[in-house]
This record gives sequence, structure tokens and C-alpha cells, in this order.
Amino acid sequence: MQQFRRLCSSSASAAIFTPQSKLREWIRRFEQASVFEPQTSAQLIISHVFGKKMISQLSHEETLMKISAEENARIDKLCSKRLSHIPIQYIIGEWDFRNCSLKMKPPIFIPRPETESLVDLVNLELERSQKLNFRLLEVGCGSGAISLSILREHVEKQEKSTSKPSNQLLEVIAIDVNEEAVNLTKLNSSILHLSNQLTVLNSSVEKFESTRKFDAIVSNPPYIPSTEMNALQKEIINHESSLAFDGGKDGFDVIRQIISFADRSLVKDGWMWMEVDDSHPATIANILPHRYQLDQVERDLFDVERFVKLVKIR
Amino acid sequence: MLLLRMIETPLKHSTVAVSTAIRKASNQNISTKKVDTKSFGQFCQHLSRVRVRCEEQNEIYQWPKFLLHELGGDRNAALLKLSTITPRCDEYTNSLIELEQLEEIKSEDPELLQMIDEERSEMQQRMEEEREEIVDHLIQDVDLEDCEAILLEIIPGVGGLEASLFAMELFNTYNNYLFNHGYTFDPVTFVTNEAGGLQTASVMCTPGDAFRLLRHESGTHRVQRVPQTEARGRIHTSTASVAVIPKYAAKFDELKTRDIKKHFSRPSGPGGQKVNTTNSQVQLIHTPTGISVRCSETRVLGDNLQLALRELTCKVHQLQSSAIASQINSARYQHLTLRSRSDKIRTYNYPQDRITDHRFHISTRGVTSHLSGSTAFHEYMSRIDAEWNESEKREILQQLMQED
Repeated sequence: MQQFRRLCSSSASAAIFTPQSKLREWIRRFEQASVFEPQTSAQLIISHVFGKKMISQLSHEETLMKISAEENARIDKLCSKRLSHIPIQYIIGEWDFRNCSLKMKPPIFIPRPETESLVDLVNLELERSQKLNFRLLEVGCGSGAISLSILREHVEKQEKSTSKPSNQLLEVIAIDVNEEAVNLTKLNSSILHLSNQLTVLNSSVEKFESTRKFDAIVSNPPYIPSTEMNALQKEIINHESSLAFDGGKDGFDVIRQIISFADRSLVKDGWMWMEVDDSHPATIANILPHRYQLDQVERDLFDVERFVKLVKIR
Repeated sequence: MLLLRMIETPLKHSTVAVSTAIRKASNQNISTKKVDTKSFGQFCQHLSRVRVRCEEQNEIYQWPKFLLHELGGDRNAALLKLSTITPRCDEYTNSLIELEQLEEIKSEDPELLQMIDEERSEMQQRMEEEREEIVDHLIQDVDLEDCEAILLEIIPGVGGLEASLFAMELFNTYNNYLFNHGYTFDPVTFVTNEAGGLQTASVMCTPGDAFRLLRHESGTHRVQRVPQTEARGRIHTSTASVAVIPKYAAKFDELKTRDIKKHFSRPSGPGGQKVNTTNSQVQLIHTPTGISVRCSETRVLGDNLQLALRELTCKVHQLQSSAIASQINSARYQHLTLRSRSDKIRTYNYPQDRITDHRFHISTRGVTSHLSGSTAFHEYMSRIDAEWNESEKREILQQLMQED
């Protein structure tokens, strides 16, 4: 072991770094610092420095090429951040959600892979709907992941379909209580050329007033019960805004607010698809006013009951 | 018809020169590769008989096993298909009768003999074409027809580091080739080792007609050269194993969800907002067969899941199709579909700068040029395909002709 270390330090003094050597170096350091997902972390950061999303996109020759002093410094700078358990998505400033590449900025909530299925559920509803003008509200848009995916895929579908004589006009309004989130969503919206299809507003759902009613609501609202907040990963507790996931005592605080909003601004027979805590599908019926029906419960990719569809029946 | 009238007026001439001419003419059309006319004629009659009996006896008719399978396996569809082929068979049989009549004409008249010769040449030419047509309709490239995508897999074999480097070179060859020919490919797995060699790779490639040439790549490829790491300049032999697996359109059912176990890298538990993960690796296991597939190609979990599912479906179908094949034991499957990965099919010899295919005994020069996936590569593969096509059809035809 001692001999091995000596060899390593001698190569360090020779100061020839390659993506491969930096990878090895930082995986080791992440492991020693008990960083969550040490290998993936190092791979993602280093690929990013070289303009790639995945380490497999670097050819073998490229991983053996000597890197510049700037590249070396950049790798070290970004990887050091990871030692403080800063989420990768904040370090590289971006992340993928379905087929959108989105900018990420602390402390705005980072989209989770589970939420990708929520978009599928909404897409299905839009397809089934006979309405020519559809008004959709997203509550708590964060980086804009949900709204932007829905819009983008809606546009792509319309471009592909030549048979439909009348295309559905989809209007999406996204709100977030955090002004920074609103700005980030607007930025991502610009990058994806969807600015003129998405209206982003800074407001809580409680205070939100709308002159026109909505046909549907989609949301990944804060849903973690307050008591469970402390047990979360350092990445989340220390770096993501708790506004995005603190759901109050039973996790239903914001969900209740959304339902109140639906009282005044959702059309009759309108639907709400929401991502919820894994404990909620079993208990949400208890908090639902009689005007609303729990129509459907769906599982996420990890087979956890994750999504609920509420319909306003009266 | 002109010929028949001429027979009435024979002329006197030397017979030697004429008989040489006749021999020459008939030699032109004899090829050791071709099935002889008479046997094929009998085969045509056999096919017509099958059709007649099948139509007469309906359900109780016992189809010749190989023929039924070659026609798709379904009795009704097979009869339908056969009915489109038998008119040509009858034409061939008639042409054969006429040819035989022609050959029986005894004459000393050189002009007449000349005309007989020409007529015979033409007839044989036409019959060649008719035979090709019949064979083409009867023996279709079913493997290619239904193929909508292929899964290309490469793993190193014997030879340690050098084998992994060679495997990588092969991967790049196919990569370049597919790219240059406008095929889309999604890497499903791609694992390299520290030296830049390939540990394993699998790529899903569309459209399925890539199968036409690439199917002959399945098997073990052998390289003979001085490795980069070799200090003393000795030649080493290493191998890499390639598998090209076709994915068929809806021939088999989609895999049942309950038969697939999903494994993700993130820790199990509630998930959702409670977890921040960046590891998007997916592993799928098909429990009935035990086939497992892993994918971490993209940052999007859902996409990796789709890729893994496609690869898994492909492999399971491949297994199912070979299981069915071994049950049927038909002419076609008797010598392949699931070519054993360990069959040594090709050698790349650097010192001699030669590539040799051991199945078809086709060689070419220019290893480096070949491995760049360029036109030389395409030409070589086309030659192999043409040869395979010939021998494959011949074998299947022989099998069918031996049946009664």
C-alpha cells in the first residue's frame, strides 16, 4: 500500500494529467469523503469539463490525452465543490429531463427521474381531450421541467401529425412562489424556444388570481412531511430550497392549497395530476372534499405509488 | 416452330465440326454450381403434385416437412404461396419437354443444326431465368424480410489486453461502416478498460436491412500481429467475438411486464423528492430465461430503460426463435441463425496484410483499409454475402429436392 502511494505521488509531481488519471484521482477522493455516488459524480463532472454528457462519449484516445492547466484547474474546482455534497446538477449547471436539457441553479429544485412519468400521464390526457383550446396550470414549476417537456412534446406531436385537421391549442401557465425559480424557468423556456407558449408568474398558489378558469392542473408540489426533512441526503438539506419539498405536518399543506385554488379556478370535470409522497395515495382520500374524486393512482418507474389524479366532479 | 418446318429438308455436311459446335454451346450453360435441368424439372413436377394433392385432400394432406416450413409454416398461407409458384413450374416442365425434343432431333444439315443450337441456347437461357425465379419465390430471405433492427455485440476473446484492443478496433469498424451508410445506432452498453480496449459493447441498429451484410460477421474473429505491448516483436494471435442478432417485427409477443425485473442503481426506498441521484443505470432481467441486460448510456433513466428493454426483447426473441428452430429442424435452420459465437470465421493477418474468411474461403488484402469500415469493407462483405446467398439457396434447394 505504501509503495503504491509513493508511485502515485511521483506521477503527481511529474504533473501530467489525463481525463483518466483525474477520474481515478477524484473517485478515490470522493470515496474517502463518503460522497454519495462517487464514481458517477466524478464521471459526470469530468465529462462536463470536456463538453460531454457521459464519460462514454469521450473516445479512448481522448481520455489519455494530456489536459491543459486550465482544464485541470477546472476539474479540481468543480470536484472540490462535490466534497461539500453540492448536487452534481448545480456543479455542472445543467441536467436532462426527458428530452430537454435544462439549466440548473441553486437552490432551485432539481427534477427527479420519477417526475418524468408525470409528463406521460398529462400527455395522455391532452391526447384524449376533445377540447380545441386547453388551458393548463403548473403549480411550483421550479426549473420549468414539467411545463417545458409538456409543451415541447406537444409541439413535436403536432408537427408530426398531418392527419389532424384541427390542432389543439395548448396554453400553459406556470407559477412558482420563488422568484428565482420563475427566472430560471423563463431562461430554460428561451433556450428551448418555447417562450411564447409558456407564461411564467411569480406567485404562491394561495394568492394566485386568474380571470379565466383552467381545464387542468399539474404539479409536483412540496410533499415531504416536515418531520422527515432531517433524514434526507446532505445534497438536499444543505443545497436545495426547502420551499420546494416541505409539505408541512402531513405533507399535504400545498396540496390542500391547490385544491382550494381548484375550487375557484378549475372547470367542472377538470383534472389534476400530481406527484405525491409515497404515503399519500393511501391517505389522500381522507383530506379530499366531496367535490373531488380520486380517479386514478399510478406508479413511477421504481414501482412506487407516486401519482394521483383528482377530478372535480361538482 | 420455324425449326420443325426445316426438318423436312435435310442437307448433307460434315458432322465433326458441327458436333464440336454443339458441345461448345452446351458447355457454356453447364456450371458446376447449378442444379441440373432434369432434376429441377422433376422438382417442379413434385411441387405441382403437392399443390394438386393438397387441394384435393385439404386437412388430411401431409405436407413435406421442409417445404411447408420454407413456405412460412402456415398450411393455408403455404398453399396460397405454392399456387403462385406452380404456374412457373409448369412452364419449366413444358420448356424441358421441348428441350428434350430438340435434343432428339438427328440431322446432318449444318444450317439446321446451327439453328437447333441457337434455339437450345435460348431455351436453356430462358429456363435458367425461370429456375432462378422459381427459386427466388420459393426460397425467400425470410430472415431479412421480417428484420426491423439488429443488435450488434462485441466482446474480446482470447488474448488479454491485445484482444480487448482488437475488439475495440472491430467495434470502430462497424461503427464507421454503419454511420457512413446512414444507419442509426443506439449504443446500449459500452464498457472500456483502462488501456482503451473494449470490455463489452452492444449497439442497436436500424433499419433492419443492415442485417443483410452484417449477419455474416457473427462468430469469432482472429487477429495475428505484433501487439503494441510486445517488446520482442513476436506475432500474437488474439480473438474477438461478434454476435449480430436480428430483431423481428411482431413475430413474437412483447415481453410480459411481470416477467421483467428492473434494477436501478439508486437505493431502494421512497424516492421522489426525498432522493437526489445522478446514476441512471438500469438493469433488466427476464426471469423466465435469465437473460439480463444493463444500460447506462444516457442521463435520462427512462431512455436507458427503453434501450435496455429493446435489447432484452431482441435477445429473448432470438432465443425463442432458435428454440423454435431446433424444434422444426428445417433446411434453413439446420445450418444457422444462432451461429455459435465460438466458430472461427475470419482471420486478419497483419504480416501478410490479408483477411481470410474461413467459411467461404474468400480472401482480400488491405487489413487497415478494411478495418476503417470503408468501401473495401463493404465490397468484401458483399462478396461474402453473394457467396452465402448462392450456397445457402443451393443447400436449401437440395434439401427440398430430396424430400418427397
